Amino acid sequence: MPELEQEVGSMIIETLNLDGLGVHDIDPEQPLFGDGLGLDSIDALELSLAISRRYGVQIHADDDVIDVFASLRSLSEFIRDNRQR
Amino acid sequence: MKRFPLLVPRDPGMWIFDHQGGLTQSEFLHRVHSLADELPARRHAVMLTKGRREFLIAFCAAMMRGQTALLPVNDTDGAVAELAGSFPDSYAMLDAARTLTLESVAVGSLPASDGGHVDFPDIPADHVAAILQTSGSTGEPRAHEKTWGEMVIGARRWQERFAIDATDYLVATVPAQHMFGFEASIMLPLQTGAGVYGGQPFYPADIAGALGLANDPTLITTPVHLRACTRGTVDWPLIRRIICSTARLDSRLAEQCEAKMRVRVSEIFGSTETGAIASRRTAVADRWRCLDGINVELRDSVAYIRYSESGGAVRLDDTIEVVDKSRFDLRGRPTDMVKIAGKRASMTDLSLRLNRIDGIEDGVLLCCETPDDDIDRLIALVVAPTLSTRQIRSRLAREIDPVFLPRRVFHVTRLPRNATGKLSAHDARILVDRLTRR
Repeated sequence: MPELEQEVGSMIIETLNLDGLGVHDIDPEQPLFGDGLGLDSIDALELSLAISRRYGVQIHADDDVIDVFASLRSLSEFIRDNRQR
Repeated sequence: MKRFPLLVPRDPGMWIFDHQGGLTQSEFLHRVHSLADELPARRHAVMLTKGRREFLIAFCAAMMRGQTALLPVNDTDGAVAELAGSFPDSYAMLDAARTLTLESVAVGSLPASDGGHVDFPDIPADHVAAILQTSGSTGEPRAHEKTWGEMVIGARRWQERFAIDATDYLVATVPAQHMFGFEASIMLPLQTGAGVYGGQPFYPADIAGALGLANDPTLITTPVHLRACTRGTVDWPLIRRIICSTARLDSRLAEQCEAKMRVRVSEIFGSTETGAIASRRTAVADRWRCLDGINVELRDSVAYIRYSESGGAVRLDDTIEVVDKSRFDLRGRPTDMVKIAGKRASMTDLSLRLNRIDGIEDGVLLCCETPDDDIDRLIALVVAPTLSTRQIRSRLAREIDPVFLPRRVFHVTRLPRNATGKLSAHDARILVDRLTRR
């Protein structure tokens, strides 16, 4: 798993308190919301906050958030392309 | 019969704001009239519009046709089918066309119409304007009818408490289908002429962008959004006031938010049954002050609110301590009911649904306050040797609203039930503490 994906995966687990889950339990292609990890809109806000603090990226709904949060891979790519720090 | 205006006129400038340019009241009414002409001759319109601008157009067109707006608790296919089943003579209003089993009208696809004079219509006070749903303690949905007259009087109470007029501009992060969102972002702009943002911003950066579209914005939001706004790194424009509801606002969060966003944060206490009842400035006050025309009273230690206009009384689920007829302290809510992100459910009903899943031998859902603050999430204790956490969550997701899905699922060999099979909250808590310390 690429380094950034591991880092973002750990951030998701820490931010959302997903106890009992390790980075390697997250399939990078698996959806984060709904059927996959089963995250919901409250989690999306929490994650957007963690991402803005850590990487200086603000998530906008018109960034096509469904795509950004589609999987660990898509989220990591979005962060890689937009990070300020 | 008494009638109330559909829309209170304001100056000719923008009324609905968005990043594409927005609508004046006259442009808005032209769209309402042309949509009203297109609507099927049915009694109930299921409001599935997500945009606030589309909701306003659809709602007003339904009012002009003498129809009733049905506000679903969520837009899952199940919820829509259930609603249409309870109200057979219904069709759906959508932002844009999509496939639905129900007959539907797409509001967004309507062509813009010409200018020219347009009437500001009146609606009879006794017309049933909307039906909202709540889940009762058995989990069965209950329908609450709202007449146009009571919604208008409700909006005037808000107007009086917060001194809102046509110079205001309202931005709401809550859906219009929820009672708080319906009162604050639909009825309030219709009845005061205050400008309104045409969408529903979600992320802090979107919220800041929407607030920046006009002067003196008011943010209508929830504790979850306020927390994200307060802790994030977005720059905030000058905000006139924040009005928060749907879940209890933590006073520390209210304080931090006031400091960071340089604005007063008011919290509303209310329910789907009653609409807004009282408000307080949570950072500095514990005590609730009733809106104008609403009183509280205790009868045989049961709390009621009484409307001065109609004399009607509604029983409250919450335990309150009455200070005088217009002030009270809140002392908690019945333990079986949980409220997350403005949605209410019975813990007993949620646990029943968990136990109906094949492979769950025994299980219970518990409400667990997160250590760092204010937002309740659920956890599950299950005896289910053959099911993974993911399987349990995904099967439960077909049954219950996603906000009630357990954040964590603990597999145990048995639940600490007593001899009568009852699981006490105390014993469950001890088990959870042990599991989470591990």
